[in-house]
Amino acid sequence: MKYMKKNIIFCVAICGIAIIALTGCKKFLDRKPLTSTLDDYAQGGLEPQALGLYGALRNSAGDPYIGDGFQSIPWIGINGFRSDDQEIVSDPGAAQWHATYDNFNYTKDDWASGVYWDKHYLLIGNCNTILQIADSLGLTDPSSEVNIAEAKWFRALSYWDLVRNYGEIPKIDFRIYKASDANIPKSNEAAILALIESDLQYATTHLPLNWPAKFAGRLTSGAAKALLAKVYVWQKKWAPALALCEEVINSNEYALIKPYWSIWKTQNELSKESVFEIQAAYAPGDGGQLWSWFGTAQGVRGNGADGWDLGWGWNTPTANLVNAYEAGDPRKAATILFSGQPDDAANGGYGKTLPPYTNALYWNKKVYTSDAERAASGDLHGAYFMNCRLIRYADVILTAAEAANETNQGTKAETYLEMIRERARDGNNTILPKVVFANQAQMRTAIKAERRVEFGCEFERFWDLVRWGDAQSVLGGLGYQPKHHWYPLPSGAISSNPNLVQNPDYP
Amino acid sequence: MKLTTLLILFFTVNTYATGYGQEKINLRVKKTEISDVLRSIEKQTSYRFLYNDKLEDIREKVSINVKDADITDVLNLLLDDTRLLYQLMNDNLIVIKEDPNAPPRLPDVPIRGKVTGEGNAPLAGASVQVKNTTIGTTTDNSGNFSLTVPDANVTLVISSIGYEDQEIPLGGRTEITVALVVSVKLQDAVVVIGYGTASKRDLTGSIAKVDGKEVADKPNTNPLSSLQSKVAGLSVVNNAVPGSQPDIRIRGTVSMGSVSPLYVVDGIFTDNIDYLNPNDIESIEILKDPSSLAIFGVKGASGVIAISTKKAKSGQVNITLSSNYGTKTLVDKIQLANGDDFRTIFAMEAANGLNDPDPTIGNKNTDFLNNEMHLWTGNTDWIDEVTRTASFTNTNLSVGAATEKNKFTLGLGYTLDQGLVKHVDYKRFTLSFSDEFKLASFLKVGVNFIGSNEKLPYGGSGQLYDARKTLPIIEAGTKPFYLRDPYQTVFDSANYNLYSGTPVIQNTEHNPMLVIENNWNKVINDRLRGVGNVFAEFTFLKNFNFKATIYKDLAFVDNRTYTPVYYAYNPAASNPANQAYLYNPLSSVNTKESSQNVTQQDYILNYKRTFGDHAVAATLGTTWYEIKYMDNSSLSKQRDGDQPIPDDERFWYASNGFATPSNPTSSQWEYATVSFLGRLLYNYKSKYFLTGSYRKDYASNINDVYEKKAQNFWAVGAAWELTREGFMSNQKLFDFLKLKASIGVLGNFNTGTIGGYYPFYPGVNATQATFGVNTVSVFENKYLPDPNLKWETVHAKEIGVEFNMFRNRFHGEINYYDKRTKDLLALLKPVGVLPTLTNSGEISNKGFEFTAGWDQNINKDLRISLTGNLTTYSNEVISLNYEIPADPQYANQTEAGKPISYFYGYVVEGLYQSYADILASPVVAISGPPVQPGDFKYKDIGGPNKTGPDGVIDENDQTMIGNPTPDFSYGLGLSIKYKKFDFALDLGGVYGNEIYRYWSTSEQKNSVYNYPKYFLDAWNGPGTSNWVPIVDAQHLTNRVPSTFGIEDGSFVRIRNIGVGYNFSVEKAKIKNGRVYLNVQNLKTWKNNLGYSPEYGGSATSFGIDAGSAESALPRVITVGFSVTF
Repeated sequence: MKYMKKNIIFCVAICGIAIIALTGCKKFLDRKPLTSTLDDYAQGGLEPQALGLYGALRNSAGDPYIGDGFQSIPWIGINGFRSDDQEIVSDPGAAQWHATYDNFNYTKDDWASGVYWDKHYLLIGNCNTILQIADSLGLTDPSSEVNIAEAKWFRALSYWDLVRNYGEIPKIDFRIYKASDANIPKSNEAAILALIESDLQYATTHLPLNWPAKFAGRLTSGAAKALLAKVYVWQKKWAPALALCEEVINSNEYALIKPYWSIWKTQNELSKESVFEIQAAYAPGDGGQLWSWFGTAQGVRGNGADGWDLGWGWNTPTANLVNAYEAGDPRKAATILFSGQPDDAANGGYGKTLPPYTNALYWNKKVYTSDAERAASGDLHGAYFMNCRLIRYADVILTAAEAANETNQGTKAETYLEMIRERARDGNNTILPKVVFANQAQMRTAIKAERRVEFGCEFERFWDLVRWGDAQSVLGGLGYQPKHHWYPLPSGAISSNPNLVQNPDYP
Repeated sequence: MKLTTLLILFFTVNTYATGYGQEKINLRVKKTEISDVLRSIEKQTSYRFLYNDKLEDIREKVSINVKDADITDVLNLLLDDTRLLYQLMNDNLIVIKEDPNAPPRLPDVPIRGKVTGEGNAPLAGASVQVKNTTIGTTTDNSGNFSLTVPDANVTLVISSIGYEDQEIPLGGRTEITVALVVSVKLQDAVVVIGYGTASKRDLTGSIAKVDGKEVADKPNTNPLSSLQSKVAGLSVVNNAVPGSQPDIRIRGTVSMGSVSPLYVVDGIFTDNIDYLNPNDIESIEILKDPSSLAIFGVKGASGVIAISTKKAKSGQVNITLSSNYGTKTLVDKIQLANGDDFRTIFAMEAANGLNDPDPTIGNKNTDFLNNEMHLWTGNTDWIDEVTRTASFTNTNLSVGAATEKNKFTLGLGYTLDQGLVKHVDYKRFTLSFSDEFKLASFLKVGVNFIGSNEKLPYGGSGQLYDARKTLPIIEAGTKPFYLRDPYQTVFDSANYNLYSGTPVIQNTEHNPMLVIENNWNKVINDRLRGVGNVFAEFTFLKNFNFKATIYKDLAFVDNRTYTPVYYAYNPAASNPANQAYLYNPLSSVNTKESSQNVTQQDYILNYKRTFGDHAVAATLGTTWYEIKYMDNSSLSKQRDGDQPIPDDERFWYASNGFATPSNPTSSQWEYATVSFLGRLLYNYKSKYFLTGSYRKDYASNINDVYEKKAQNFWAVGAAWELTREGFMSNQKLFDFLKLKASIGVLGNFNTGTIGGYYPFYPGVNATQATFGVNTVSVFENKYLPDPNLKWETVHAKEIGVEFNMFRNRFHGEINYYDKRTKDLLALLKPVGVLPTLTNSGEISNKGFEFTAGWDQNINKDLRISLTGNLTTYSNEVISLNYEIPADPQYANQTEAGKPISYFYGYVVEGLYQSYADILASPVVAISGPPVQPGDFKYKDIGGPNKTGPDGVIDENDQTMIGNPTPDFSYGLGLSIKYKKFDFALDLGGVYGNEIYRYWSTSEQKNSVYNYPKYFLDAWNGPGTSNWVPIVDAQHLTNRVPSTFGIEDGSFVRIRNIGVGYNFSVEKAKIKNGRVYLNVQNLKTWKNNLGYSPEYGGSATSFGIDAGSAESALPRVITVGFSVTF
């Protein structure tokens, strides 16, 4: 019958659909993310991942914003504001920062410290992943060894930032597969420093001396040695520090450029003075993916009305720093802009005069850019294109001077110190007379004074004071106590890692 | 069974005994007299018939279609429904005679009539039956029927789904008109249950049905906003920003990820129903219990809201026009300092700052007071400045028509919803179309389509949030300045009316009017959405029905924002000639286009049959779902020194000829699911009910091993209708009493947003590194994959009772629910480790739901109904492998042993009145400057290791200070109909929750913000206050979350109050008309300082009053009408 036939057709059709459903299902579901995953790269070698570390160090433009921990305001605050020479006052809204950092009212839950910790460990995690992949693939070719050395260098840099600031911290030197892998107890400072040293030692021998222009500013053995020397000096391991510095000096890869103020000009990015820079770029049409907060966060904070809206004015010099310069030292004019005064065209200015601001009397000139180059970058208000000169050759030389002096090589110390003063003098022999070695103490005082002015506003001062044991005497008036060498561990880190115990100074 | 049939059976058995039935008969006749049929059998066979030709029934017309049938079967069919009997004699002789026991035959009476339903509209398809007989018919499209009854004194039973049955004794009449009354017996309602419908009576779970009328005339663009306080177990937190969705949760917070329910609109799964016009909605069903939800598998755990759009009712041609207009006003404004208050409080803060250990900031504030304050002369209420009396309007036209073969509807709608913030206008145009065509008796095909074009509003609502911060000393209005035209196109210079900028003490904020007025009309944000389906439905093998549906849901968003170059002025500029300045010096165009493409296919086989006392309805099916999303965005920004992009819509594109597009980015993802489902509904004598459902869901994004992509979900339920039991027949208390229980496992499709929805793969971010002038493409790791990830499940139980009392006037329902979420899916963001989505922990949600209603027709003019509901909530995080720490600004925290997202902080005992007070109190070890008089005195609760008070105030003294989940929520509705008038009142509220007020408590200020009014009472010396602390942003210990920010969240609100008048005008062919007046949010009794007591949010952060526009709930007064022709 007709109805029967129809019923059979329906039954067959439904069975057919069921069969198609059961068999086609697998294919229908076979989908992957519509963007690259680590699996898509793993076979392509380590290079894109290793170069990713350079991007991460700067990246404040997208998740996971690792750059926020290295060249942005948390980094500037933690390494800068606490010294007697730098502060955050220009912005009344930054009152809480002022209390926290300038006056040592550390808070366990402040945003900056939380970000600082988080981003440094994220970079460490990326390094560990690269090292584990290299290890698992048994990569021993020279190019992979360079990538391994780069990963180790970045890991060392991250731990260096963390161990100075927090003291005892978890030592994560293995790849994290699941979040709980990271929940390990703290290691002591010695263990962290040992890891930093071994990483940098590998880097000193596996990184090249220099790179072709295509990779300008990529990590070199000089950068590894310079950083390792700083780590040694921190531990008063003077002799190996001196040896490393001298290797860098004798490599002839670097030079002190003249005049001093020109170091921070755009044309001198990646100059002979530069040992390592966090590189940024910002130009119309480039997408803004390569910009950095570093210059903008510190630029003169004017308002739109007067054409001096160059940044947020965080990290400004103090009167203390202004008064620290020897008479006539051009580095003062190269480091500081004075409210209400001309920008000193002879020392890196552009012939403009600052309005008579009262929110800050002094501004950091090392992030001061010209109207023309800001205009060319497409944004008059900020210096998003500015590289952060993280390690300068001058630091290698003054470290060498200090290490020489501490190992009783007074003449050598005198020579290295004089290299710095000679450059600052820039041919004007009426200023900055040569410091002649008299005794170790005299030379030590001279080197300390030199470091202070040479690296004015450059994030060395607080750590120098701590390292020299001078922090209490210099910073006590601002609220510093010995425990303030170490910041409390961020409360977020403590609550996410049950094995992490707070710094005992901050119960 | 009728007596005749029994007799026939008796004879049949006899005839077999005598050897009849060898000869087979083939017959196919239509409406033929029995006598003719008998003659035709005689022609085919050797059977002979003997009967009296005068027998009336032998003239009855019959239709028969048999093949190879026995004679007895044929006769049984033939003589059924007549008063004739047959007797088999010898020699194939068959005698046909009248049954002597049959009632005497009366002359037939033709009658006619008309049945009307709601609003006196003709009711098609209503059944008209002579009581206790099978004689009956149905009404035609005009509601008319004609029927021949054996007697003019019979009683007719008129029934139609959704209406009360009515018995009409004819009493000799031959023409009647019957008006049916809408049924109030909830258990008789037909409800949508996912892949089908069922009578609520046959189910074992809890499905609440809301009629579309409830939402159609309310001034809310999202229909669910109108359901606040109306349904037990459904919590709705309103969002006052036009075009935004309310925060909806069903029976508590079951997840740390997605807690909003699944929407199923005419069968298609979606998470956003903004495209729906409330006027197009026929009904909304809220599915809450495991036995209703398991059929939705991995998407069922948060509950389902099933929405059916309007379809034409058979037999009607209706044209309906409706329109309303409402005005919206801000009520319960938050109380902030005015200009003079601000000057007083700021001077206090400056003076306080001078006493700080480091008076730097105090000095700066004093400088401002001395040098600049006098230049800022404003006394502005910024909330008043940015808000307005807004309006709401919604106009609809719909046409519906149906014939026996074809039903179609057309609809057009326009909605304008203005936000309270100036220029925030939401517009929506909708059109809908549906058609259902019966191709053959066994085949029905149809199509449904809803299209919408939304003009999403300018995002200025954020300016209400900012207005709270803006200093009242800033002048509100504009000042004219003679300036160069920034574009230098029309004039060189002209007069411009400029808004003020902000003073230096507030340099992180802005003048909200400056931003609104310069930007509001430079945004294009169009969303197009088309949702439609085509289906074919086959009926075969009598009890089977197969439906294949293909759905498509397409959405496109075109979002372009132009930022112009514009000026502001600075009253405090050092050189008055420079007062005006370019506030935004560079123009730019941001573009973003996105598209979403959903395809869903459902293949559903239904089987329905009754075997004696057993009734079975079974469903088997497969459904395939695929969603693809992509967007592209770019920024074209003017370079300094270049000509600005002109203020002309022609150029609001990425490549506009003025600026080069940069930063083009895209994001995209897709996933697919395949599901197999089955359901069985069974009942025995409509007394014992059993339901079982099962669904297996495969998802492309959960695992890369095919077999592991699948997860199973199921539920079983049982119910017992006691009132059908014999032992209940003597009681008068209950007219209806049903006990029910169900249990099941439901899933939550909660992927978070990491990994492009593939949390299983180790994602990376493509980025760049720069080396000198070279740029290299590189990547960073994005998150950690968890290879063992699976969907979180909710193990749900329900037990309940439904009953009717007092002649069905009172209906009650009590349910107890218990939901345990297991394998909680949480996006872990451990500090220092890449985020990872993982299964971790359990959450419990329990509570009771009470629903009651009284409905009574007092007399023919007056009908009163009163409904009420109350839901209790108890939420606890049972376990969590980690803790979601409280944000230092927002107090929400989630940890094991506490309610989800509870408030965590210090307990304020008062303020330190003096240094002596500080010395006599526990030592404060909270990070920050040393405490001073006027600071909060926190309670010493615990020490390390959770021991008791230890004499030190530190983080161990933080504790649970509140819970954003209420103890219970409730609603009460009263509706009165008197003659042509109706009146409705809806009340609702919650009780027992806390709100955390973030503004002016733990909010981290980036510069000076305006103060709340109550700062006038701040501590200003010993004994001046013991609650409002000293005004000084430097005192960081006062900023940690504490009970100072905790407020009582309980409230009662008159949600709606309305009156209407119903009419019909025969001359104007208006079948139905109605005019009404409605007030929404007339009054809220609340206990907090914010705009409203309602604060939604995410699963792990809600109940926070940030002072934003979402919570500024307006009062809306609406007038409207609707007419149906």
